[in-house]
Amino acid sequence: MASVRNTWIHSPAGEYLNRLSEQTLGREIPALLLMVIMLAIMLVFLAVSALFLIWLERKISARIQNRMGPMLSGPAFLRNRSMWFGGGFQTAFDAIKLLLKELIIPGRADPVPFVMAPVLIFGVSVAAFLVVPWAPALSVADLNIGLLYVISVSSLTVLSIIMAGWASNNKYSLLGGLRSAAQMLSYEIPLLFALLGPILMAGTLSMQGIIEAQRELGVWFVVPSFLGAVIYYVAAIAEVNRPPFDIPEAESELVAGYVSEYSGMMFAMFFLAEFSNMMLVSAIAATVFFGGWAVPFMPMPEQPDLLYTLIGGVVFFMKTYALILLMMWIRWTFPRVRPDHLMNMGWKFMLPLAFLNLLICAGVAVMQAEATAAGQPVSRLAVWLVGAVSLAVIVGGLSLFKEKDRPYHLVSAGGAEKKE
Amino acid sequence: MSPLLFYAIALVIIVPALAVVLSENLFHAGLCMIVSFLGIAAIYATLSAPFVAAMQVLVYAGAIAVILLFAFMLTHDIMQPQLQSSRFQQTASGVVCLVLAGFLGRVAMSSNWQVLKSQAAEGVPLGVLGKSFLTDYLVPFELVSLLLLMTLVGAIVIARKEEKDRAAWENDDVAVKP
Repeated sequence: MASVRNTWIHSPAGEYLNRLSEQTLGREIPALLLMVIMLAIMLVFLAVSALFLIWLERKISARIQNRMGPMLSGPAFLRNRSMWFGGGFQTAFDAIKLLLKELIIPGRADPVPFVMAPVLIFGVSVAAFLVVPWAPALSVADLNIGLLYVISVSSLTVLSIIMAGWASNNKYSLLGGLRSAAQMLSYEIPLLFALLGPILMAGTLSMQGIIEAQRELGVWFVVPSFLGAVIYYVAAIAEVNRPPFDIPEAESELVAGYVSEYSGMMFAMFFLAEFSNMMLVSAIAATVFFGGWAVPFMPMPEQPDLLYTLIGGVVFFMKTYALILLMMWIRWTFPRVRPDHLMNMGWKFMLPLAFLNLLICAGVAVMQAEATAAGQPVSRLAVWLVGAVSLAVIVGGLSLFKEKDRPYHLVSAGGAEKKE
Repeated sequence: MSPLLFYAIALVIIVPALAVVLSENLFHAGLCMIVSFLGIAAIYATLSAPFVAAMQVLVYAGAIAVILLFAFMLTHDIMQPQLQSSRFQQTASGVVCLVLAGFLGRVAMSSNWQVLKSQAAEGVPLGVLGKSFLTDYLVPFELVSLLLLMTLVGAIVIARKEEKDRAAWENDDVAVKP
């Protein structure tokens, strides 16, 4: 029975389309056409959700700053009704405006990398969405190396930012590119180590497999590796260059960083990529730490089931959007971090904690292995206990440091203060 | 893998690789190197080795090449013509490359290639790969990590500030203050 369930969960979405076409048209869709269809669905979905997210971000920033945000665009009967209904079409009109604008390539710029950079950054982010498990059996591909694939593909993002920074031939762009490269390379390491813990506990890199492992354990991986979830989330914000880690495009010092010279749709591509990357890191966090599409209080059917798939998809979206909302909340309430503080925090504070988290997760993995050897399920209580005790120890340990000796203390390392 | 696909990927590897050597623009050379790395990853992917392909992208294209480009951006006047290699360097590297190519070609020609039985598209399970790293191939695996450690220590030794210099730098910092 279990094998039927496994094949159901792990089958890619294309198989459903194929079966559907076999029933209605009597033959399978050619592989190439299927690829094009899936890609088109992904692109439309990502573009629409990016538009929606941009609107949402404007509205949330308005709410936080006690404003209304965009109110006037859209059909007349929605205008000035309430804050959340007015201006619903704002970003759609913005997109049209950007499409109609002229694409300016500066005369002394390096044209090929300059044009390639925005294409690459959006392409990479679309490619990484390939393995995101929206619901059981609803990912474009359930790769054996799923999570590793996402990480390796999205490591090319920094490349396009460097390309943009260099090719613009502008000192602010170059500085932005430099800062971004330093930031993204540094934060990739705690990010990877934070993900390693759940991978250890799940025993697989497949995204659907990680969700399945959490369902079998009965506890989300955020419980034993709460620390890992926090480190992942902070590092992910740094990876997508969002405030408070937006030093690569800090407008008060760098004009707009690596996007300074871009206009029209090329600028919009950077913008789209930022929002789709935001969704990507949130979807990964929802999968790896928060149990993905697994529906609480509802037993998983053995056979393919449309209702469960739908509810699972809704659950996955709710988790992803909760994480995105948290990211927006952080953006509009935290001041920007200084570059040297950022480096200090990444290397001296987050990386050692990520190692600690790995150790805790390894302990849980050993518990799992012993329970499997004894032929009984892992006790949920023990996992909760491990999570609570380790969290208490870490928080207690950090609070033992004196304020100025704390490893994440954000006063700069220079000795100028002492000498005065 | 169909021969057509193989030749297409080989073209993606070789043409940018030539551009790396021949391009006068160092930044373009770095970018071409990344394209070449991605082509190699594509070869791995078509040979049912997705793990190796992902590692190729993550380590070579995503980290090593990016650090290379990062170093270009930090280097002052890297595009100046006087930084070009001399005629002697060019000749010497040409000779070394020819010898290496001849050697590799000879090995490739004289080896009797065995055809292994075809594997599943997803390749060797990762668990098997990890176990063999920690059992059969433990010594080479640890040697590689030792090499990396040596590189790291070496980089820190080169990059660190001497204690003297640091004191001078800090005094300087204070002196500037009003």
